[in-house]
Amino acid sequence: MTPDREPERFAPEPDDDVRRWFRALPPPREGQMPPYLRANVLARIDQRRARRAAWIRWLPQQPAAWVTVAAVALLCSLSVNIWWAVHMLGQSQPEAQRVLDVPSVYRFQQDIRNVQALDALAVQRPALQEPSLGLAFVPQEPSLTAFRLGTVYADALATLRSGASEAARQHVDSLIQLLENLQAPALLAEHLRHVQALMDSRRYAGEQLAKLLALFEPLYAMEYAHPPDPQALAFFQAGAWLENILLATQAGDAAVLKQAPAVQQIHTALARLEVPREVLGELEALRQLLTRRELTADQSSEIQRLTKSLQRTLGAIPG
Amino acid sequence: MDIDGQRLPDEEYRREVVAALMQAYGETITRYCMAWLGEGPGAEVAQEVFVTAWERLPKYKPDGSILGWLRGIAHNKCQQAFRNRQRQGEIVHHFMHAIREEAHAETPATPELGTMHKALAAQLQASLSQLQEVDRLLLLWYYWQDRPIREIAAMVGKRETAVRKRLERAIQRLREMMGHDTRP
Repeated sequence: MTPDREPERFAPEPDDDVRRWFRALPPPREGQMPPYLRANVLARIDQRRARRAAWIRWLPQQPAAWVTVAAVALLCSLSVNIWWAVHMLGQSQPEAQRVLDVPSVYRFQQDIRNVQALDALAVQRPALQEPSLGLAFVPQEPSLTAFRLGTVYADALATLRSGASEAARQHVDSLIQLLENLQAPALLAEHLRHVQALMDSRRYAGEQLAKLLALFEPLYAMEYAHPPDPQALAFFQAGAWLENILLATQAGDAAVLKQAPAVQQIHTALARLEVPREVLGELEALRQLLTRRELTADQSSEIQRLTKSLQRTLGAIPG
Repeated sequence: MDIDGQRLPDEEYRREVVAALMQAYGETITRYCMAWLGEGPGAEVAQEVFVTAWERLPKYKPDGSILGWLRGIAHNKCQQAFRNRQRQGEIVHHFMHAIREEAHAETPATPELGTMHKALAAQLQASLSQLQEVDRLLLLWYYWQDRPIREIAAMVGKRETAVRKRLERAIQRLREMMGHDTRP
């Protein structure tokens, strides 16, 4: 055993030890063809031949007719497969757009320049009480809860950023309660409890805690994307976005309100979920206002009125 | 041996050809497979080589060397076996088993030398068994079977430089296991 081939290219360090160790092993034995090998190979060949013969016997006697039948069957099968694929593809497109392309709640609030006004507003936002169903359009209880969840989440985030920890805690409590009503995946409430525990520890600033709380939004989207639940996602996003619009308007930040594409996204998503016609009308009116370069005091008031009206209808939120 | 290319579509004729090929080259092909894969897996793969030869004979061009053609099939089959994780384990197991058996059967020149060799061989076997299967195989092929890197690279389907690097790492690990760690 002298593996001294290519010594200049291999073995950057002397491997004499390794060679010596392997020399202690008995030399490799030269294998011999087992006596059964020949018989086994011939038996396997015979088996294959027998299988082929059975297949050939099974074929009809008139190959031309059989070929035609097989070709037609294959074409039919191909057509069904293509139709099915196109059908599934058509269905999957709206699903791919389930998460609306609207600014994230955290980002939206970060873009509001009048921070002091926003903080003051956030502190004043009361924690939501149980919904009064008599006031609201209730297409389905989960959609109402999802909308309120979005609203409360936006409030919780704004309050936490303002540093009003007690008010923020109440909003997070409401969030946990709403998640229970929605029978949402346990992971979401777990995340919120974790945030609450960190709030209680008083070791982190409001902004840091807000960043942690902001992870709730992608987490929620992820949990409701598989299996897809367009209602839970669209109503949550609509609720959060409308609450941010209200906060931004009340804080007097017109620049951040130029969000016509976002209203359009919400309009399209809610139209698919068959909300009342008045809701779509109010969203369209909102869209027109949010396309304006400048906003007058009257127009700002109108935005607030429309937003509160939508919150009342979709989330039973008293305005 | 003469092969009539015109008759190769005939299954019965191909069976006769394969029987003749086994007579002539059975030993060579089996040794080739066993050398790479150990006795058990090697014998199984050698069977597959001849069954595959029977299937593929209609495509064989009689102007080439039939042994070279068979070796090509054997090489591909051995490669497939190496890539199969489960078979990789079997191959290493067979090699290690053969080493243990031979070690017991060997008669040393002197009792002292025999004791030293046996202790070293036992330590090496124990150390090898702690390495990954691929590393064990590379070390066995290179150091025990004395195979060139080029052949090993062709068998594992990697570049020679990649095989060298892997071997270097395997040697380093083996050194650590053997208590000869030379890292700075």
